[in-house]
Amino acid sequence: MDLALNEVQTMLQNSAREFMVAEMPKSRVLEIDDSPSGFAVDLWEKMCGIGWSGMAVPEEYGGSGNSFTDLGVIYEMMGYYACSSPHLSSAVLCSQVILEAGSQEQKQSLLPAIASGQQIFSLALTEPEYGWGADTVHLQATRHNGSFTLEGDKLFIPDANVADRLLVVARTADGPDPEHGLSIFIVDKDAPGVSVRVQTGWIGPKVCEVNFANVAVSETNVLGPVDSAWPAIAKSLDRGTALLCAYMAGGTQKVFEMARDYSQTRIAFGVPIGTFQRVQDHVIDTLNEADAAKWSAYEALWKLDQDDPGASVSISMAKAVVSTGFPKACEASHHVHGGIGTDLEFGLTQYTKRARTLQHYLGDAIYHKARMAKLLAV
Amino acid sequence: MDFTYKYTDGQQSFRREVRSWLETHLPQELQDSSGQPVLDQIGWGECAALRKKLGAKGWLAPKEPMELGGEGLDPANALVLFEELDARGLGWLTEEAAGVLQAMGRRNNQGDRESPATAIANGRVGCWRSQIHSLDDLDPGDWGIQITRDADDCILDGEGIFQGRDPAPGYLWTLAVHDPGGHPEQAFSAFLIPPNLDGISIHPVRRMSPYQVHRICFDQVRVPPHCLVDQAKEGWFLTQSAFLTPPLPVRDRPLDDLLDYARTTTVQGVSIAAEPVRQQLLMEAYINRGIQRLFRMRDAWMRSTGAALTYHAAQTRLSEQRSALHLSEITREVMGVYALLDHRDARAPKNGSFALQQRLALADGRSAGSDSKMIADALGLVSHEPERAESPAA
Repeated sequence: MDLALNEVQTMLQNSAREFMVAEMPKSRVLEIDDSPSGFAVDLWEKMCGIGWSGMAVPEEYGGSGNSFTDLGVIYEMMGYYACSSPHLSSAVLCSQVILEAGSQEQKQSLLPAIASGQQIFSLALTEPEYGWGADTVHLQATRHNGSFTLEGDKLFIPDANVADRLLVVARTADGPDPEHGLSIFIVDKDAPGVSVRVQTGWIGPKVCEVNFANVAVSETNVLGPVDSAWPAIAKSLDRGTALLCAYMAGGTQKVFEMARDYSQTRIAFGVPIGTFQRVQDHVIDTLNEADAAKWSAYEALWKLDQDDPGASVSISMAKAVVSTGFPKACEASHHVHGGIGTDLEFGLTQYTKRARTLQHYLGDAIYHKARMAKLLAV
Repeated sequence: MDFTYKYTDGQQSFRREVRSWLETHLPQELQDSSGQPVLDQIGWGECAALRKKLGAKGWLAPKEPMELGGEGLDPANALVLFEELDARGLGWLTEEAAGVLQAMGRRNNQGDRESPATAIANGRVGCWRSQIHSLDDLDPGDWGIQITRDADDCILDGEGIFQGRDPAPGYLWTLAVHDPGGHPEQAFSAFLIPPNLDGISIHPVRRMSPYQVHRICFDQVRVPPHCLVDQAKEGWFLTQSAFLTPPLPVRDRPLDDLLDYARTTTVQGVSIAAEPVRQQLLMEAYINRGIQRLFRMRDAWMRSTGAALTYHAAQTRLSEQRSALHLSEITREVMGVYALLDHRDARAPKNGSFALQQRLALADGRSAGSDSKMIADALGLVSHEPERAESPAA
């Protein structure tokens, strides 16, 4: 048992912290959140410039082939500073889908562009019947004379508005097993018939509605084998989920620290409010959620790196923990902060917004608990 | 990073030795005694016999040196032994003796003290002890047993709550206070007292605790100096080191039993574990256990690296306590009223172990306020110098 970061991870943590301190002051977080696209090109270019976009891609395809725990260290720091970027969509989820499903030729043509950050990909999986299992995918792809036609809607797709290409999961065959009959299509975002709309609401990372109206996709743009894409998608979702947990753990840590620090300095009735037991209870709740999030996320990442057969259970456990813990910690932190916590420029709301959005992304606690039960044969 | 407990070949071999020994020596009556808080006469007789056998092997206090009746096992092998006993509902046998033996051996005093230590280590007698859940319970001003000195002897007066599994104790591990107004760390002394001294009276107490709990009154009890453990006024430190050590990283049997029950119990031909609401609750309990395991692992890792635990141990205790109560609630939700049947009822699932968990979750609980206070202190929420922050109005 050794829960310490190794030398490389410690170095990554330090450099990520320096990067975030320089690039992500809270004013910048607000600025990006308030922008119509929710995307900062300069920030993304800098992230790619220091190699982050290639960390999940093997060296032979232009990446650096880091472990998921290495990446987790970066994600924890990104979460701590509420950093928005298409990294999870492009450099993790899509790169992993291509790695798992793509032909050698597809990997060679697509992965280097993702690793360098030259192209941004977004995974279009979820639909109006929002969910993360194969059974929620209904968008139809029909075959005509050697090509496919996509017809239908995808909803809550992160980064589709800033992506160059979409990996669209669609149903190519029906049958009793929902995991069978799914295929992945590589679609240019600007292809005829594709329209993207940023959805509105109090949403952390921007999400989009993507409509496909009679969109033609050639067979060469089918990623991997037709009808049997789900195992590759499921593997990639696991990896992305573990990293998202690290991001959310970083955010939870930050809201704990905000609650602790504020309770030590805010004076009420002549004393710091941290001397009030009820306030202390809220701070302790945020700490408990932060620690639970951190260790469950790192255990999941470690198991992923070990190719441990129990990795999927640990990943779902971690996501169930952060999906409830991050929003709860934010709420407790709001209780500590009172009115000032709701000031949009104070900084807490950026985390609350992310907590409530990411709670659902890649599966909420209910979904992951049900998945755990299935994996554990309960 | 590495999140596994890895057992060496030597430890695995020791595990086989323990299992083989238990297969030979564990009587039928104790094969599954986990649901029985108080063993019946036959069960207790078997248990006392087993304790002697364990004592003869040095396994009641396995980490203690051989001269104190232990086996001098390293912590990893001692954990293996505990895991094997605990898996059979008998982990408490080593816990009870080990605490006393550890305190007795703290400065390895021999002489007059050798005799009770040896008797306890050999499993010939058991011990009841002052009921303490955390150091916060040791408030000198609120402690019920006081000491006055009379030459070399101490005179104990007052009363306290004692716990132990034996129907009758061989010794009483007693904490008494010198100075009710003093600092806790210097206010207490610990004694190992025969229960038959003049002035001691024992009264059973009916509590939620499923174990033996007694109120013991001390009326001008003259305690000879050899009953003092270690030095005078060392009681706080002895208690901390011997009885309030962090929990061992096992004890997940109640949840395993619940999962097993839910998998195998059907309603209208369908397993109750397949019912979505119950399934969610079961996974919640599973997750809680996972978090406990990670917190304990973190604490153990920090200790092993020499890192200072600030809020960590209190956080682990607090979340274990909450988790135990939550499990008890989930157990009732999943099982319904069957969760309340104890070992005396033939229809009790798993020999009444669920009913035991219900009671233990309440009775073993410390005041959550103690651990919360420790965490708050460690976070600097109390002692911080006030500095005015920006007010909402500003």
